[in-house]
Amino acid sequence: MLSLIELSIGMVLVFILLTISLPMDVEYHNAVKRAAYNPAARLAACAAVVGLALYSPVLAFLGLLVVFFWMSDIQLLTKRRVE
Amino acid sequence: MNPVPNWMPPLSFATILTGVCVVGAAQADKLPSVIPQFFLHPVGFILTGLIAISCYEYNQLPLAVALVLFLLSLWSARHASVSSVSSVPTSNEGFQTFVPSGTIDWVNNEKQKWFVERVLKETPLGIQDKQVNTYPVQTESSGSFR
Repeated sequence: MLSLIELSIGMVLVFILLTISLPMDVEYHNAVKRAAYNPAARLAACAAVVGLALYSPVLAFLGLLVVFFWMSDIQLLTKRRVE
Repeated sequence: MNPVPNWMPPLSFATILTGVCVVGAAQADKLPSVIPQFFLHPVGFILTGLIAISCYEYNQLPLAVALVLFLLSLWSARHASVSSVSSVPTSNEGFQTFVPSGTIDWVNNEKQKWFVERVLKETPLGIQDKQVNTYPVQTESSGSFR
């Protein structure tokens, strides 16, 4: 059974997951997506997910989804090569 | 007698492996091509997935999550790099996948947008091609008269 804190953090993570793939017509998304280029930011995000796994499997799974889509989005943006 | 040798760090093997997987997941696009080739092979992929599941069964959840994250990052980075090489570009948008650092001007939020960006409602992440070289029209007879 999830505690209230776990449930609230999970809802926030799901909200991030749902909004992170929106078109970049808001400056906030622009800055968040750009951070995925930074290796240190990626490392911190991966470490945070693993740290989350120490406390709750459900939250770790949600965090894993968020980080995966966050890193994939920027790679999808860069996959089209300029000739 | 202590079974753990003195030279071993005061960390378990699972913790060290978790750290390696986290670093590998964060740097997935910079790893040598042999590593993604091994882990993204169907046998290697399934084997690593089985190891992750067994880690979960043995209450090593951080290691299981790190392994899954590592596999997904490798797959995502490989997918992006393969697409950039093999696909025919359909648009002039986008950045080159591997560019030297400092060659892209990131567009910050305070910068005033160009007219074309406002009209087309574009919100670019950065600008890569900052200089356009133009040359005068060259003809065969330029510079020499026969």
